Amino acid sequence: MVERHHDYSLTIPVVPPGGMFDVPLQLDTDAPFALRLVRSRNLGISGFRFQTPTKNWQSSQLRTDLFQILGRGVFPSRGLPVYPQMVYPIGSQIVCDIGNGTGENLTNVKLLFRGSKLFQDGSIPGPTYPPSFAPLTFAYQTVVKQVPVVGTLFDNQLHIINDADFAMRCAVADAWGLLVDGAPGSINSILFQQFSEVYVTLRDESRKAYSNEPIHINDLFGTTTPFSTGNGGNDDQVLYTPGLFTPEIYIPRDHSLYFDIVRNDNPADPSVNMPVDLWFRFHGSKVFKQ
Amino acid sequence: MNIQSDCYDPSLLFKPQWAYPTPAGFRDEMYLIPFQFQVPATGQLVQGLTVQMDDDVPFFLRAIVFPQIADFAFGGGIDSPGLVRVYDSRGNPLTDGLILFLGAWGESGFQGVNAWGFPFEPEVPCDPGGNLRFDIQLQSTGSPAQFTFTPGPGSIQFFAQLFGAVGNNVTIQLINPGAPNVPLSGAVVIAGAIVHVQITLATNGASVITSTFANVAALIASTPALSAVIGAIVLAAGTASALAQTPLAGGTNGSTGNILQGTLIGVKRWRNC
Repeated sequence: MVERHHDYSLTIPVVPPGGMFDVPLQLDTDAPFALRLVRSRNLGISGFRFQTPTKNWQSSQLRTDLFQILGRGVFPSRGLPVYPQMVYPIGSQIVCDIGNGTGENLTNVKLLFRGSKLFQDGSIPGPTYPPSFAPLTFAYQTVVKQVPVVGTLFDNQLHIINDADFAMRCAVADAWGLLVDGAPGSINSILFQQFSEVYVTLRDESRKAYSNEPIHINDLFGTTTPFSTGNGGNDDQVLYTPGLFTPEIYIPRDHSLYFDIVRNDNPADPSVNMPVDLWFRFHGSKVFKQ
Repeated sequence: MNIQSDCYDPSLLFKPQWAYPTPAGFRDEMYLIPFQFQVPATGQLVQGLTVQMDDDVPFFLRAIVFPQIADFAFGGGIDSPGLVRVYDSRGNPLTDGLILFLGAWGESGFQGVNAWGFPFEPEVPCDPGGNLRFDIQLQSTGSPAQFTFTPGPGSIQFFAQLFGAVGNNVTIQLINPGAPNVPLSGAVVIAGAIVHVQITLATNGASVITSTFANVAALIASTPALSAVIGAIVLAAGTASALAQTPLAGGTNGSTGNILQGTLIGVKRWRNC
């Protein structure tokens, strides 16, 4: 069996007061899906629930992926672990109920279902470790400059050096700019390099995606910025914790991983209405064939 | 996985950090190596910073604690990380050139979280007496020269595009042409060490200024000769007015005595006798 990291995202543009029921998330027809984590975005305490592969509800009532600190409020988590994993058949659906107890429309609500696609051996390319090898911890970096406030940048590339394969296990992404005394560089590159609505689609070399739609950069990379929004926000206070890829993504030497970046920030919001340079770091192991 | 096994298969997934078996005939003892570097926070690259291992037995590096790197003075303590390139004790690079060491490998403890550091996976064997080598380029902790013009309704902030003290040599002037139907324009005049930016404001047929601060900021941003010297941010919308030649001020260079402290975490591998 070939396991391949995959994220399914269910986006509901508008959830009316009272919520929506039996909303289906259609799964792909190429492989079963092993669900291991669920996370919500822009939903808050309204809660959700979803059906298991046997069409039973996973919870008796709506639930959240938040946690409460007494006296401080409700904070987002990094998602709900699903253990043991639930394996959904090829082409099946994850049916969801999404609550809305706010009395107003909730917009751009997202439910992220993270896990692995389970392919039969030989059905897709599945590069993996050679019989004998030496590992070396290693970090790659790809800098994507001037990501526009609204727009899409396709085919950004992580190219693996031709001396060794690379097993990518986690990644981090942040907006940043280097300031050097006496060199061109402005306060813009520090103070105003902020963003909010940035989504990324990872793709392998044949451009086969690791998700059904772009995934929020914080959910994929565990970024530092946007800064944690804390009580009531979407992004938790787990700063500097890289986004993990389980299973790891194995990239042969001299091959590439591609990623598309979609940004849709509000041009009228001065906190996020400037282009940003995004620094992606990919951590894992070099794998030297012996 | 059998953690008592002498065989180690690095291809096993989901391997916790403690699952490195000690080879038969050896014992591992936890060992910490605190270190510190003096690195100027000026944006300059410093190469060849080393942490030497003890010369008794091999050290296996499994994590690093690298607390907050440097505070960016301007803007109220925004953290200011840098770039790092790391080599193991045999000279193998552990990074693809200089990478941003915010996140994994750096800034542990920032905002009170992740003070436990970051793992190296797989562990990095270090030879007895060998050196881990770091090249570090820290962000400048200085500040840009700037000037905020608030003549009444509306406000605009000008800042030097060259970062640090050198920006104090830039001056800005908004000129009321006092003539009808003059278009908005800009020019850069160099006089000795002073780089003077002149913006001539637009007027209507009655010689009244019609340029807004937004027009001025847009002109600067769209004119390479101007934007190479100066930048502008509209803080509050309004109609521009004349401004006498005014120097930008407050530009400072970064700290040259910045101390980075960190700790290498791992084990020493002793042979049982």
